[in-house]
Amino acid sequence: MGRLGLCRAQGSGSLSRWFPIAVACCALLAAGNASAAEEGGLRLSGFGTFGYVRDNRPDIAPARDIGQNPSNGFSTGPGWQLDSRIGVQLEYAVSPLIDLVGQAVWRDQFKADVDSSIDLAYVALKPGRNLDVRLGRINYDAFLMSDHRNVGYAYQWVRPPAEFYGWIPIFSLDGIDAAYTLRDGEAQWRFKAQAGNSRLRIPIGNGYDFHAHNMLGTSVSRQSGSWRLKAAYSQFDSANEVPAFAALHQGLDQVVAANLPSTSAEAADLRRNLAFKNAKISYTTLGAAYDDGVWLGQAELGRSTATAAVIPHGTMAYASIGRRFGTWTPSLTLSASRPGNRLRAAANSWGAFNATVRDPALFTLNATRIEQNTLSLAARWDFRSNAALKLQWERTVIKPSGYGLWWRDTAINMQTSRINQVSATVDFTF
Amino acid sequence: MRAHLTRRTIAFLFCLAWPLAACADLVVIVHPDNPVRAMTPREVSDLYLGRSRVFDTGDPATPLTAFIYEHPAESHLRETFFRALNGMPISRLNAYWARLRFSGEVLPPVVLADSRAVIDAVGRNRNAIGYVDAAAVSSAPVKIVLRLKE
Repeated sequence: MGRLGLCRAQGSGSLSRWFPIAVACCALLAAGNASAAEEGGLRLSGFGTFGYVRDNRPDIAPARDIGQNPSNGFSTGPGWQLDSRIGVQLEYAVSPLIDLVGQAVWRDQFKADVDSSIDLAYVALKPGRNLDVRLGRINYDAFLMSDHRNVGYAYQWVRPPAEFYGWIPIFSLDGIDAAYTLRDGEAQWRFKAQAGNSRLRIPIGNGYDFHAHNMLGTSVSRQSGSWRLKAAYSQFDSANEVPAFAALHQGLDQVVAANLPSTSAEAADLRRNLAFKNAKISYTTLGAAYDDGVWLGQAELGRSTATAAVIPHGTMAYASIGRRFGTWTPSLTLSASRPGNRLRAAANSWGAFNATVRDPALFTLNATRIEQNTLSLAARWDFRSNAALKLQWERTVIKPSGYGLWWRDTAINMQTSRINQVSATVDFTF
Repeated sequence: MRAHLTRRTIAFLFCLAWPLAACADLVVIVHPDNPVRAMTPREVSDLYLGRSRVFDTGDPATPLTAFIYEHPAESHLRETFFRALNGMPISRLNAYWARLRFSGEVLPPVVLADSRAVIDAVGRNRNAIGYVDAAAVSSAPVKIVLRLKE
């Protein structure tokens, strides 16, 4: 069962395990804030979300992103794990030109340990009036919201559209980035480049340590009046293989080595498209956000490529519009995702290898495709200056063999599914 | 937006034309040695929204990095200041800063307790900028670079 129809993975950690520690940390930080140095120095702050979600399907379970793993499989019921999280940030101003920043986020993820909970740990340098350089663990800045997905208080919805952000597993990278800012009349332009490596654990089989190497990214953003625009491109290499694929790869290699007409060529093609190791992945995105104080809107269009079809890739987009009525902001969002790889079917009979190699290979290849649309209605109520209640209803239509974002009973893979989710969260900062 | 800017500009010009006591409820202050003589609402807004970190001294060769002082997140003075400066309500401002701060893009200004603390800090730091209740300035050793009417 599960996203790839492989064995159920056992998560090495969960939010519930970390939650008491997080609460204790928050209490310490709140106390620390009061004594923070008045003229710079050490500062502590944080953000958090308490969320509850339920849906109407017993055979499908959502994931906020593909680094999550429902604790009891696709049959998971209503719960608070999906969206709840707490982040704390420590800032130290060494001088007006040097800052140290650390941020830890406790959230539901397949692997929740100290390393995976640290999203930021960097030194920021300001060598010029318009230049910023950061070294260390920095956030992944490839999309309009990729660097603050965890900060629910900063956006209107319960969660960023899954069609766009749900399959982007990278939150931060270990490396360097540089940003150059310039003014052009009322507009502010920001040119940014990033380089580094990243790693995270994805629930495939008993767990897959995904290593993204040679990450390179560049972005251009423009802020002017009510508009914020961003164009970005990033790429990286997948450095290692999925352990759970080992038997499948071995079987495919045997068929290739048998040198059978047509069959071996088909096996070689499947083997190449089932290899995470050395695959190259890229993201290209365009985004726009508008906020004039009353009306607000946001839209992004993205395209990702992967040299191995098993790695989720394709075209994704969303558009959202909202309006403020005092402290209430209702919004409407449409989002969609289309796979970049066609649905694969058997081209040849492999005889005895049909059931043991060919069919599992085709199943795995098709299982990561993402093809779905979502309509969501959300309302945000800013009941305090640093806290907001959000209510959201969303209806998702998942196309056959487009279940890459869902934990599900594999029996429904070839069906169209409709799922309704209702969520309530309280987002806050401190 | 255009109507809002026009109102703000009129208010700004109105304040410049009248004696301080008549309408200047909030003032933006810098150290007396700061070469900047006056600032526009946009220049101040850029500093307080993290879009700029230097004073426009008129000499690009010698930029003066701004050390920005802020009031507590829920203070009435802060709410009044941003409504007068750029029309941002406090919840929108806080959401804006949540994005910048926790993405690591820009760290927010240092928060001081009240107008007295801001005046004292600005008076000690040549690079500092702050805003305070106009009535609190009187004979303080700081320079007013912008007046805003509540």
